Amino acid sequence: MKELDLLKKHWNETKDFPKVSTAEIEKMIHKKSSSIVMWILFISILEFLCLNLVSYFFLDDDGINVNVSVNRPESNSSFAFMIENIDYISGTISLFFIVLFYFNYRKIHVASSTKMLMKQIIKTRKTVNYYIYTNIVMILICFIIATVNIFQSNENQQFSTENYIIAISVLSIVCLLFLGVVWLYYKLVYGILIKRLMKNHKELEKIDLE
Amino acid sequence: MNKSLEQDFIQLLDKNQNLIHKVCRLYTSDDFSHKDLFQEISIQLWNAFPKFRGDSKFTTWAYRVALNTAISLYRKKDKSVNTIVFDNTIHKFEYSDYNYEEEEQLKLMYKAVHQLNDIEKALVFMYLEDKNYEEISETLGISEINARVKMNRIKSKLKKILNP
Repeated sequence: MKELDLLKKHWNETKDFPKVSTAEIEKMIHKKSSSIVMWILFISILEFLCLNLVSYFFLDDDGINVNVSVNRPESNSSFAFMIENIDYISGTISLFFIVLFYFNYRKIHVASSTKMLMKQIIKTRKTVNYYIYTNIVMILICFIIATVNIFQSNENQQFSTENYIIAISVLSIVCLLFLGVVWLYYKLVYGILIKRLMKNHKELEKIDLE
Repeated sequence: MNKSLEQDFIQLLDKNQNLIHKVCRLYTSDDFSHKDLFQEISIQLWNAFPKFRGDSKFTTWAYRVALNTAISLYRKKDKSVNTIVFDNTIHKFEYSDYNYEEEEQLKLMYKAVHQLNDIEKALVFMYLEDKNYEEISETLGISEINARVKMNRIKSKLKKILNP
């Protein structure tokens, strides 16, 4: 292709770039990176902190455990065990994911091949996603158990069927809203942060598939 | 990191800064983004420098890091393609023997390359830098055959852009 050869000829002749002095380079390399990886690290740490705070306040002794203890004789199940040990379970899960995230993050090398680098960034980000999913499932399970316990503990006050339906509808809407907000948040984060990376990764995968 | 390592790095980067400028020129379309990407590439190179063992050439290592930063790490701030900026860019080319027709062809070619996606630009960059397909495949992490096939497709795509 003669146009490309022409571009190649001139490309190699070009020397008119703005000269960056050694003093400027020295200043530059000590600045903070604003790369996608730095943002992922920053957002992931924030998410870890936020989720742990939510777990701490939402799943503490004043919350769900009180309701479980009301029905302790009937709730002698694995769910009851889970609720009673929620702090330990949540802590172990957090620790597991933080270690996994750290090892995946350490494997990101900018001098790897482009495909490998992208895979590793996506893998690191996915670790945080799995952590979020695990927490959402845990929060939802606890929410459902708490609801069932509230109804069971109020058996004698005889809720009408109508009241049950209204209560369940309201709780379902709250759950859906909660999931909606989480979904929207991820759409936004992905949209802003790694949409281009995902697009480029897909493009590279396509080359090997075509 | 120690001071002598830093000085070694600064000297190497200073000597090879045109390589980074070339990547910036391909992936950005205004001076602000050019400087921004140059800075990000410099930071990435410096952070990765302690792991650079010197068993490959500094330039080979540096253009890989520079391309990876432009493709995977850099958060693009410019979204629109500005024709005026391209015109300015093309005028920056040096001509040993000025030729109006060639200049026009170059302008169109430069615009066409900027219409390619990030991965295609990387292949064109390495082609312009005279890298062989083995190096291209190693840098991008694709097979050598597929790199060749893709390069041929890019040439066809460029032809189509030039002659719609």
